[in-house]
Amino acid sequence: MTGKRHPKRRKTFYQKRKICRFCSDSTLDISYKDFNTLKHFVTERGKIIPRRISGNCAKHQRQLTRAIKRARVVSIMPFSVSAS
Amino acid sequence: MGGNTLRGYELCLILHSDITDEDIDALTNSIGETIAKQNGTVLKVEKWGKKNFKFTIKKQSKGNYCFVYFSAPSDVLRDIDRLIRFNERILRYNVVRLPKGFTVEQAEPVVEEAAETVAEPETEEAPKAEQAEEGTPSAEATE
Repeated sequence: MTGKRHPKRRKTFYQKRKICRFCSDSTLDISYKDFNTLKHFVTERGKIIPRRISGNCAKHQRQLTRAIKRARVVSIMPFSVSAS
Repeated sequence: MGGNTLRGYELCLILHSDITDEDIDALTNSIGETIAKQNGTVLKVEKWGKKNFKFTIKKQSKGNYCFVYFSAPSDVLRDIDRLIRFNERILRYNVVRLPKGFTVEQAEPVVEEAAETVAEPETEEAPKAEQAEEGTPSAEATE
């Protein structure tokens, strides 16, 4: 048996609670025409960043997704960005 | 009842980049006429000017953006569709329904001095400050 023993790893719990950016700042508005806000919530390839990473609340993530998809239709946001 | 209830819509027009400013005005006017014919009203016209696309539309890489806010019965959309479809200089268009409590003030850049106290049921809405930047590209020095 050549089973390699793993040292017992202690699980690290991240306590950093992400706060929804739109909840904390009520002046921030989600509009499909506002590229400068929407661009923070997509990856370099143009994919929408999931809620668990961006930290948005469900309500605003929903609004954001709708806005990004609308923006794609009118070519304000890209559907995809080709590599390099 | 049917199609008589007025609803708020936002029409996004993407026009050919060669189009002149007068042509845009003429086009928005004719759209406004078709809206008015069905008892609708144009709330606001917002022109962005030329903007680069994120992907090509009809082999074009840039175009003129124009937004028309209006309230009208839903039948108007069919008429607008007919008007737009035969215009080759319109590369793409998109109609979005406006949220229910939408007012013209929300579409316009809000000036902070004129603190209008309109009795609105919702108080969570904060004045849009960002829109003021996009709407007024008034940096034209004519000398």
